[in-house]
Amino acid sequence: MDESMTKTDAREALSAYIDGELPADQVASLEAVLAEDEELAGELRALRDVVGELASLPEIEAPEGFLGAVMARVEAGETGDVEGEDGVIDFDAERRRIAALKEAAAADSEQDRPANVVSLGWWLKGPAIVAAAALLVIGLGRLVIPPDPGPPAMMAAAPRASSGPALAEAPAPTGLAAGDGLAEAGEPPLGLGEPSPEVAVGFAGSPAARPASPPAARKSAERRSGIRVADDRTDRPAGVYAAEYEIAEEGGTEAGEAVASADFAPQPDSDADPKLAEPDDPDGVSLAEPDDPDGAIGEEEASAPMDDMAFGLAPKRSAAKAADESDADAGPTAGTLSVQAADGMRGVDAAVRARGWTIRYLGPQPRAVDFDGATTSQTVEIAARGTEDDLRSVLRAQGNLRLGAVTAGADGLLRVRLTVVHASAE
Amino acid sequence: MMGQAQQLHDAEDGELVRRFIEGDGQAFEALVVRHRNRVFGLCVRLLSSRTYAEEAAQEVFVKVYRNLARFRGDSKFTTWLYRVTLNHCRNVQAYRARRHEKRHDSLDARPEDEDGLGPKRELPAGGASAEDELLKGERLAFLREEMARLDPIWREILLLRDVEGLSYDEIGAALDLAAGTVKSRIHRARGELRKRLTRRLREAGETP
Repeated sequence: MDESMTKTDAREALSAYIDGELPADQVASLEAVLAEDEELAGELRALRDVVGELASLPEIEAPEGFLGAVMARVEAGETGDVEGEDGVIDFDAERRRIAALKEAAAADSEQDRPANVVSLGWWLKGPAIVAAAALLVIGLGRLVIPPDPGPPAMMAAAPRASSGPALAEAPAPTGLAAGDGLAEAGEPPLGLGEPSPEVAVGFAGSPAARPASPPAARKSAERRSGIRVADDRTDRPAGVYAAEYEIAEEGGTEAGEAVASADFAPQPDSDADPKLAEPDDPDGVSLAEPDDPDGAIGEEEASAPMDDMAFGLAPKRSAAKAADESDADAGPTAGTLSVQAADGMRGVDAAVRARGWTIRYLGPQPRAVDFDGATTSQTVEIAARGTEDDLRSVLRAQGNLRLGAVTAGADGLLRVRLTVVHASAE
Repeated sequence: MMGQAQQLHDAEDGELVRRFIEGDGQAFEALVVRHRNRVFGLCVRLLSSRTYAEEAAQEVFVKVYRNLARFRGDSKFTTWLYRVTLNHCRNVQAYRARRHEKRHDSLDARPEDEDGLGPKRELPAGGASAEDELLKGERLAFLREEMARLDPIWREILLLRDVEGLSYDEIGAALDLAAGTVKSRIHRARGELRKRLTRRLREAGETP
């Protein structure tokens, strides 16, 4: 018996042993431990029972007409996502708009590019850029817009060939978020309670270089993109752009507010960054990996610290790295809030909004699923009305709070920027 | 001479992918037919709802159709297909969560749905074997319910390993996990499920 195999090691090795995945040199050691330890042997039997029961689950057959339904949807030009439903904008349409917007902005920038932004790329062109950035995020994930109070938008132009009446009862799922490798450029906080009227936007540029509105670029971009920037606002902290926008859609318009926040450090033309400029894998088909469509693990991920709680495809970085990046993007924070509930971030989001306060997501945007059991973090800015005790009380109810100074603004709101760290309770 | 249908039936996935990329639409249909149960079954068990699963599984194949040209063939087609399916189901879950639906509704997942056995089975008539059947049925029901309640990270990996039978390497590729993580996660997932099942069986007065 290998004396180095402790009971803890032996216990951890049980599943690999059942699966025949335990290295040969450890098998004998484990079997020796099992021969002497009835408790472990019992655990092995119990695990084998579980494995056996799972393996005995019967195959589930696809419904009749499945192939026909798939082919009908293919022939109808569907993408696998549901278009325009419930405030979720169709990705492909937005990608086309992004392309048009970029083209317009690039053309305009050739005409009236200020000397001091020459090297900063097409997107530093004012409010049209905010819309561009918003669209960019749409491309990288989905732009969540407050649901239309009226009837939900049509699921898709094409008929759903197979599913029959059940479809009418069950809204088709959409291809929300997802998109591995895209989170680095920022994504809206999808799935975190009510759709937020604010959309955090991954954005590159320099606050010092924030340009005045270039009307020509703006008009052209608006015309081509179908997005009208109704009111760009600069009353935001340094590093944050905001703009109200309208997106013209057939049969109506969608409006909302886009907030661009993130790292404003000047960097090379983002057109050169395919992840930022050309999100060619919107749907999380992952395919979701623009550079790695076959699902092979990249070196970085494969060699990253083993985060046993990481949610599969979601975070492409270690939690610590994500936190670092988030902080770097969002600036200094006043504290941390460690949440452990499976839906921790969603809980924080809901608690804040339930008070009528606002929560804004800063920095790279983990997707909603990142918080479902993952260890990750998110920097947020909360604006609260009330006393500091109220604010602390609400936050404490969500997790372990370490909070420094809270800023009271002239508008009567308390503001705090903190990092929400989600660690599974397991 | 072998007919085209037979050729497609016999062709390996990689060959079908190649033929599809070269413009043979029937090759894609052959892939759908071959893998529809696999994808649909996984969707049912991930989403705990046949209604959502049917829609989701169709969408998975539509996505495959749209993106198959990007499949480089470095990994098995099935691994890639699992990955697409998992991603899509996560998106569906996120969508449902956003609509304030319960997350683990085994719920809208009627237990009898989950294994595709159709409407509730009749209770067996008396006798020892009938009692065994009853117990077996109860254990199966507990298993389905507790699987549906598991955290998605545990559920996914158990489905891939113990239901679908993927190797550790394939799971690593499908879930984008390092080998050591796959190993430890499988173990923890089984431990969690075992703990839950033991509790349920004790509550039901059965021997775990």
